[in-house]
Amino acid sequence: MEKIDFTSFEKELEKKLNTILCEDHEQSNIPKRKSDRVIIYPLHNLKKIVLSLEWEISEESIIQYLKQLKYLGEIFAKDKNITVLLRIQTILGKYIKRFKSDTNPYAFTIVQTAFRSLDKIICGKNLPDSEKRQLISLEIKRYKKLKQLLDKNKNGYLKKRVIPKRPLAQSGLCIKKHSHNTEKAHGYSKEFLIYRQLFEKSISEMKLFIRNELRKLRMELRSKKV
Amino acid sequence: MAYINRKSNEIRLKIVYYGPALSGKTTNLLYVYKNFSKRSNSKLITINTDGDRTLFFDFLPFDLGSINGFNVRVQLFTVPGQDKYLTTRKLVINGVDGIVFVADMAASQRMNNLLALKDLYKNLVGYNKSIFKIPMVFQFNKQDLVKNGTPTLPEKKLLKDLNCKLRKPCYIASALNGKNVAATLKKIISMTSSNLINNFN
Repeated sequence: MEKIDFTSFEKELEKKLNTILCEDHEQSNIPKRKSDRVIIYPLHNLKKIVLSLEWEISEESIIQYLKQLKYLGEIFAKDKNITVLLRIQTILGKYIKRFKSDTNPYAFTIVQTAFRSLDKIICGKNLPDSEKRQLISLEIKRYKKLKQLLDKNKNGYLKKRVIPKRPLAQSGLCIKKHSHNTEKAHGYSKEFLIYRQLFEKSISEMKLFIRNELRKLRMELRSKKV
Repeated sequence: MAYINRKSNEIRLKIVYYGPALSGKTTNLLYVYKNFSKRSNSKLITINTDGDRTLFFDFLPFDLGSINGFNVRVQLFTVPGQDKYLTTRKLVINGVDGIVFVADMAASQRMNNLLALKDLYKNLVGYNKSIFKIPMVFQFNKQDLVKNGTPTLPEKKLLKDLNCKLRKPCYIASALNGKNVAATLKKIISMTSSNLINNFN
């Protein structure tokens, strides 16, 4: 079979490629595909996640949310304004992740508003610094308000969980501090009250005895040392 | 599948754009189609989903015309990069003559680039082809990300990750702007055709 002249073929191919793949001609009017029109928007994924959080809170979406925030944090590490907003959102994300359905609903509104502020700061390149600061201070205020709300709820929760004192008859403890009137109010029997007085006396006698013994021991030790 | 038909004096080459998902394989083909289709009488065939993701493959026949008495036809294909389309990738790679590996320069895509290269290696082995012998060009795409402040992988790291053993020619490109798209295509066509002629001779 006849061989192909490699060198001449290569030269001609190169010429042909240079003429066909020359980039100095006008672009054809072909309708663009969606991807051609993509303007790179760094908050594209975060926006999706924030909107999905409004609809449903799932473990996966929160993990994605935190991941995206971390990623953006790396990108915008130099911009203080943005990092503050990202930090607020990260704290909220962690809070939502921990408490899930018990999350304070105000946290979601802050997630939304913080995202909107972030969007304004990133997309609005011509936004003056004063406006940026105003947006951030607003978000910080909201965040502090949420913190206060949570603190209040926390206290209320603790108050509810304080263990109620049991009556003496049941517990058998805290004998001294109980007044006579309260005992009457509880409606204890006379016999019980007499027994309790006797019990109190015997305890005080035992205490006295122990104290005296200890005093004696101390005296002995001191005399031996001397 | 490449072939040289002596009777009809026709050379046909199959070049596949391979790489991780969303690395810009289809964008490469679109750029070629938009800018050079009138000269090459080509028509892009693409099957994609709503989100502009390649579902099956993109196909762009590229007619180079008569060269040294041979009518040279290049078929450009892309594969779907998503993990779930493994079998489609395997099918598309069947009979491939040259590969353009489109790697994503975004720092977050480092592992995906490696996985895609591994996947290519496996698929080629399935057709008794060696990744070391097949004509191949690396294209480190999305250089434009640097302007946006997105962390990107430096060229050295990409070369070390992907090309330290293969030693293939590589280009830093931006398919969105067309930077080095034509250069990549030129290189792979000349590499593939010379490889084909050498084998034929």
